[in-house]
Amino acid sequence: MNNVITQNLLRLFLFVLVQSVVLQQVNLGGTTSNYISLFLYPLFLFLLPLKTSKITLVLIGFGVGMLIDASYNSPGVHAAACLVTAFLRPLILALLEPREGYNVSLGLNIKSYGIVWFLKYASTLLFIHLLVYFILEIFTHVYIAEIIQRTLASFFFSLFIIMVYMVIARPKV
Amino acid sequence: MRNLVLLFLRFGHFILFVLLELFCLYLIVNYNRKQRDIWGNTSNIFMGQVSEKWNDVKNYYYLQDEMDELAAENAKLKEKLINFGLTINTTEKDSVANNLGSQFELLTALVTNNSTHKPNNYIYINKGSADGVQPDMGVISSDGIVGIINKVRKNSSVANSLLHRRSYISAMIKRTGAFGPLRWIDTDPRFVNLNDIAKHNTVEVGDTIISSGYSTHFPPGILIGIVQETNLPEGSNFHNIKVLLNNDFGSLRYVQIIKNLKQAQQRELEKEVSDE
Repeated sequence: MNNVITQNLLRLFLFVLVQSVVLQQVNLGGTTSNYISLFLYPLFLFLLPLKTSKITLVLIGFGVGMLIDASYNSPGVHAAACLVTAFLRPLILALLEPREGYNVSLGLNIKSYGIVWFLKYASTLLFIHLLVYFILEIFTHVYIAEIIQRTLASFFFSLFIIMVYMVIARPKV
Repeated sequence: MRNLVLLFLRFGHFILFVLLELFCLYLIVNYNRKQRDIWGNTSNIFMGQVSEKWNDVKNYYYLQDEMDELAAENAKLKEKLINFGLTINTTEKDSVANNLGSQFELLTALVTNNSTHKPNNYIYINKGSADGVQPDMGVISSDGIVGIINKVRKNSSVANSLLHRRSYISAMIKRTGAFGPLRWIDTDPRFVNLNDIAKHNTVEVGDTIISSGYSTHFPPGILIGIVQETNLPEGSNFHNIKVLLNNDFGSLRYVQIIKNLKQAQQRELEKEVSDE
């Protein structure tokens, strides 16, 4: 039990650090603006234990979002996206439930349910997260095309680094 | 209480989610420069549109009041015109600085029910004795004569329409001054017959028919219609005149009730004469 909490806290620390120190500085796809944003930290919400209660999920989502917002200097934007992701996670999990059901003692990772399941799970939530983020970041329907373009572009790059992390770090819990 | 706890256990995460999301939106709009500017502009535009639409709705709502006001004003102007006409005519003929004053008062009312297709048609009006309406008062609209008040209640009254078998309204050919009673015997609400115009009077198609003023109901000179058809039947002393009404009885809305301030006096005189 303690092991699970420690693991998750370490992961949170790592993700927040990588996100704010490295990924925030990466400029992709444009000379002046961050056209493509790299998002690793949503993975933290994806990997929380299955038995985490819905209320706890929402609270953790809000907390993580505020942490990221602190380094991005964008109060509320990441937090709002994290809240949606955390709120929808149980729903997506129910939709993607394998035929034999979930095993509470296993982590929500590639090793437990296979790479196809994990890709479906991570990409669905990541896409929702990015869509909400860019809607709130751009904040006007005038640039709806930009919202969709940036969401899609960032989605593929972010999914790539998430899968790289999953393959290299192989998180157990 | 237990239900409340259960409700929170069941939907607590959703309530929390919505509250925190609202808090985030508050933060976004207040502490992010770009989003704050966009929010400010958009809500300005949006509120502008909303208040514009709201004004449209409000204006439409006030339209009725405005219409009532205009109708009342119309009645007042017409009243002045009628009384003024009387004064001028009398002064010219009698060359006496008369003290006729205002003989007629007009009261605006709204038609609440109406028919044109029955043998006897009635017009229901939303003013009654509380506003000073009495039986036998004339009713006109902006297009001509409508009828005569028959029964009165406190806040409503019924008028015999001109399209009523027992309506006799004294009318006059404006060009010649010949007069006679109007009767509705047709079933067509557009036409009435003008009777008792003697053979020696000339009548032409297109002649204007106005009220004669030889009754206590209507002041003289109110438009009724124009002559549509006329013929002199063989062996008859009177013309057979069909009058096209100026008033469209099917679309009456605002009418004016005419109070003749000298009606009682006139009636008394008429009675005295007929009693002799």
